[in-house]
Amino acid sequence: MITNELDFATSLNEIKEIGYIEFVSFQIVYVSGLPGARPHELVLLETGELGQVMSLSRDFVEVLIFSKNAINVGTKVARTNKVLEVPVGDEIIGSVLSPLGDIVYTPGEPKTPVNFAKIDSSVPGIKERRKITQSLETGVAVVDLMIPLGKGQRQLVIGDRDTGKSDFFMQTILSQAKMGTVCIYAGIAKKKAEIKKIVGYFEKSKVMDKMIVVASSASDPLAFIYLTPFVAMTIAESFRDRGIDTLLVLDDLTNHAKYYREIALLAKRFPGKSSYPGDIFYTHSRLLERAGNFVFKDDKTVSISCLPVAETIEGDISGYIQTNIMSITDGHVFFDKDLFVSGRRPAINYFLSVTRVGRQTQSKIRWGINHELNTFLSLYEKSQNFIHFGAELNEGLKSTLEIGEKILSFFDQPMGKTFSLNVQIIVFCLLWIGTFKDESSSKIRFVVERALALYQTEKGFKDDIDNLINGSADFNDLLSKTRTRQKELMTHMEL
Amino acid sequence: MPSESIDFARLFITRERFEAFLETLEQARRELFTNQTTPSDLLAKHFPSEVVAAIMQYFSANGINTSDISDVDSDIKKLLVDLNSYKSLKLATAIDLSEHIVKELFMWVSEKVGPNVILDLRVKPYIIGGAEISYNGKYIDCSIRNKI
Repeated sequence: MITNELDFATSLNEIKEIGYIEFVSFQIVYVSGLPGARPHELVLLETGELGQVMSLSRDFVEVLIFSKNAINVGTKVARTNKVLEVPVGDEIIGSVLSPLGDIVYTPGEPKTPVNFAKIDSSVPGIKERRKITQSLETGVAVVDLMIPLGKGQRQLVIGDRDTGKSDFFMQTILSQAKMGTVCIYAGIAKKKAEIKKIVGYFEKSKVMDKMIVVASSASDPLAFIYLTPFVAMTIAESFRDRGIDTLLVLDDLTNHAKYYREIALLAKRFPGKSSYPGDIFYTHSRLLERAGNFVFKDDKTVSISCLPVAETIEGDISGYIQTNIMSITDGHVFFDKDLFVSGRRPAINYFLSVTRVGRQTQSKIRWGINHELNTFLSLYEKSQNFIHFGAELNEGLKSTLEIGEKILSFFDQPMGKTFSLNVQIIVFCLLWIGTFKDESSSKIRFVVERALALYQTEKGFKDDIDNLINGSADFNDLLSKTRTRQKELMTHMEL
Repeated sequence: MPSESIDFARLFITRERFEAFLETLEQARRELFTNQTTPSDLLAKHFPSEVVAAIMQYFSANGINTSDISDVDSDIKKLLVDLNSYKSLKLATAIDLSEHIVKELFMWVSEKVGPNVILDLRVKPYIIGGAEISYNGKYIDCSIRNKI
């Protein structure tokens, strides 16, 4: 938005500094002159293109141009004395923004943004941060029960392409948006059709009034792609400063790294591992460090939860960028291609997934469920390996396999459906006490659907479930209470 | 010895003439080994006497034996590097300036910004009058177009 106000002649006359392009390296140009240029400052070319100062040397100013037009040697360049600012605030909610902050799409009448923020802010220090204590509900049962997340957590979503990563973060955004969190989606070098699909999904789900999309397409200039996650983070920070929790999805950082590598190689930076520049870790860490749980007024906290996405090839999670981001984040959710092929939805491999801070946000009940599930599912996995030998199964093993299958069918969740946490808990308790022992998997899905519908529409049912869970001291207490009310609950849910 | 003490800029004044001089000097350097003449004769063949005098002064300041062709060759190479570092003061005017005004301007510029500065003159009729000046990254628009 700021870019519309810039004019070459005005900038030249105001700042009274001029530069001339001496060398051109695709979208990077080297400018002589401009003695007062500063890093990240915006510069204007006489041909109308905008650029950003990348680095300064004794002889040249290195500028990254925000355009794919051919640039000629000798072109005049003027300083602007401004850094990139993007619109922030309620006016942009519901819109799709370009990385320069221009509103590309908005469903209603576009509102004029009032406030702007610089995209490079200092990262809050340790004194301004607080322990993550609140749970982040994703609406995805397997994550909420097995790999719980907390508000302010940075959780990597990793997996091969087409394994359901997008479905997961879309479900999480849907769930969080319904709970009032402002959700920001950054599509980095995405196809325009993909962005349209994502926006269409959220419009259909009626949550665009809680969403902001910042998107760059693969055909955009390199600078746009590079800036996309930083712009999205800046917008998230503006809501943080107003005490509003935000969820930020960065889709995806492996793509971002590839385009940053292209910039670095064009700028003749010394290539490191896999030709990535030496500061690729710094680039991603200074981005992700801006998320977290922060102090707000009167000892309250406000969070920026961040879900960076990383793509793997052939399930290899030990790639350079993937492991970099893993080490920056507070855990990862791994989407397994094999599980996807075997029909598991979401195809999350909970044994290879990690959550470092999410467990501390859990209630005693959720902690109990998590503990039981972890123990049981590892036993189930071992039992499954055992039956491959064709051995005769004893009753215990049969029962383990039956319950395991039922748990997996309970975790089976169609795209676009989000499960409320309390519904997840109550259905799991019913399953755990053996309610569905002689029932088919489709029966479990039916009960879950029915419970969800009742929970959303019938206040009495919702209050009953909430009171049952809130009134229980721990998982065992809840189990005994559920056992007592098993028939009553099932009658309600089966109708 | 750096070329600062011998201001070649005052001999040529404008960028156009200065570049022609650099080109001819490079050509003369290449002819050093093919021509049977002495370096001073070779230079005299290409340049007017005051330019030859300035180059000879440069050689003597560097303690070069002008009868040794390879010494002269390396010193011309050094001189070319020095001359290429001369800065330009870009001056755009609405009309072509007379030789007299250009000289006056050059004297004024040398006095204000020091030696080793070449005038890079451009004619831009659309600025109507006055001048656009840029030097060392600084830019001043004193044109009439900017005032109206």
